[in-house]
Amino acid sequence: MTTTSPLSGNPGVSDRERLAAGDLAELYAAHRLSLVRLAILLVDDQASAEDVVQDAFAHLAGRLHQLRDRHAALGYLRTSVVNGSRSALRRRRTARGYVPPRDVEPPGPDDRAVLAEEHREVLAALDTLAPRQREVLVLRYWSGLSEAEIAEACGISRGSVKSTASRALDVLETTLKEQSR
Amino acid sequence: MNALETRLAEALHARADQLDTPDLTPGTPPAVVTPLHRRRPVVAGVAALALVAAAAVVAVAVSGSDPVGSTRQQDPGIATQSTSAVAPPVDPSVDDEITGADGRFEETDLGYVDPGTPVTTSDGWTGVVSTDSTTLTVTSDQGETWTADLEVAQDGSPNRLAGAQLDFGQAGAGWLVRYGDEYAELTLFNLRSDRLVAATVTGGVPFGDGFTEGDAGYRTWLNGTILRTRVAVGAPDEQRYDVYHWELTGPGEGGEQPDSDVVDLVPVKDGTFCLDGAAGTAIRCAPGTVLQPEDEVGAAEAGTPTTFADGSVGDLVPTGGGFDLQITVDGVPLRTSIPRVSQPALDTRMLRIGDALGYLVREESGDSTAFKVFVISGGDLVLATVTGDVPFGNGYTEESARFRTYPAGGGTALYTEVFGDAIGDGPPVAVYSWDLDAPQAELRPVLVG
Repeated sequence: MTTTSPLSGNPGVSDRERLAAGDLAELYAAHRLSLVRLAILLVDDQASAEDVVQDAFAHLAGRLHQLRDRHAALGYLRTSVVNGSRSALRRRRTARGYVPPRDVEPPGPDDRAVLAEEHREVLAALDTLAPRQREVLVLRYWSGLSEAEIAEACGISRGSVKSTASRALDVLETTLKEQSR
Repeated sequence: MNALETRLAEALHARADQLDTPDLTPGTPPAVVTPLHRRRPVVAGVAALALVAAAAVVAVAVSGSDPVGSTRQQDPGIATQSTSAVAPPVDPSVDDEITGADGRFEETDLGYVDPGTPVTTSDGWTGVVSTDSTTLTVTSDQGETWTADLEVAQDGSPNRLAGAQLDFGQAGAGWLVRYGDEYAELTLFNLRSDRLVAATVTGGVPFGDGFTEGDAGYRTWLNGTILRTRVAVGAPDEQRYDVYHWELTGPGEGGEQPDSDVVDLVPVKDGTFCLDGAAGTAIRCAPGTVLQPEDEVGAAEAGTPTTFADGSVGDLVPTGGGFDLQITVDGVPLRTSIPRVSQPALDTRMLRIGDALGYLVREESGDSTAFKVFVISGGDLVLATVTGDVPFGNGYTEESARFRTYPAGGGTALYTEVFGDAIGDGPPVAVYSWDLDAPQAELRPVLVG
């Protein structure tokens, strides 16, 4: 099994090659699916994930001229998706605080229902983590990013990446043990 | 990868793989936005000048902020050809790499340690958070101990002590404790009057990592030996931040005064910068600010009182050796001298930048114009200090690159454009907007394009 996703790949473009407007369409075609998948792992519903990714591309379109290469653009998109997902989760938490529970759609259970039981357990345990812990684990174990890349995407230091991942795995393990009792 | 990690990775891939391209809602890439006020250079020579001009901006600030003093009285045409001839070949993309603050805010690891792990300073003092996260204990090199209580996060996440040594000069060492995991709060402890005291954060600037009530993200980090906090301003994707550094109130100068028990963390604003997501590396700001057209403003010479929109009256008063600016507010005259002017003129429209009001005095000298902005601060009329590395007024940098400053938007904005050459008929290589802080009597540049 590989832990590398298309998001971690080297685009194979020279570092000094500048982006042209037409590159956005190529980036969109090449990476939209991977980014939506990343967002789904963070927000757990497709509609929100697609919105987050579309916003990320819209932000990129506004500053395409500032980025030197595709690799930078991909890093920018990834950071935007992580930030956008975090914002979506915060909005959702805020909404839960003010709206009666029956008005809030629980995200994603139908999609998960078709997964194997062992995967559902892990994803349920993942739901209990703090958003930043979840981000770090998703970026490490699905996106296959390095600590430096995770630090960049999450806006935290490399040391925090390591400690956050370690604590998140501890919590995950404890939760899974409790679930199995 | 251990069994748990493998299981996690497989679950994540299984969930992600549920979605494939046909499942996506049809979408199209957004339209690309091209800023109107910046264009790429058309020839390498102009790009080279852009680099020279950018360097010159720094050079001006180092040598003095008075634009008149840095003015070159050369023939601009000669200067242009000369600079172009000696400049090395430059990558045409260089125009996108002007940051104004490269490396200035880079992050230094705070080195948080878990509860129970002691941190020892270079002078032999030790700090440790108890294993149950409820106390911080500091022990001197002589064996004396001080203890402070800590709050414990509801989710049980531990309090961690920063391993990096924080020195606040006369206020002494700081012991930084991080509380919680997600949006971390920080508490700085300082030994004062034989007690370990939690510093009070003042100035309305958040301390830690999280989001303000207005949903602005903030983050506190160590930059070398300086503790800084950045608070997002503008749209979230602009990566534009107000940056502050923290000072700790000390026990007071002079040996005869008793130690003050006040332990306040005081934020000092360094300016507004664009920073990348993780480390504090500066990047070029997005052109989020749409430049407004230059105001056409009248100017009054000495002896011609001007009544401003808020009812205050301004006048330039000759004093024999120079001039004073006098502003009369509600019948109360405030007066201050204007340094180094011989024929000043007072703009007949005042500046209203944010909450701050200012009065702009200009003096032309050849092809340069010195700008001086006065504010009312603490009940006095004060000349605002120009901070940062950006020229102010109209003139030429030491490398003969032209710069110009102008009020816009009915006095609600003040911009400085720095051009790539002495002629200045092409697009500027950098545009700055000035923040006016009346209480601090400071003008601070913000790179906007």
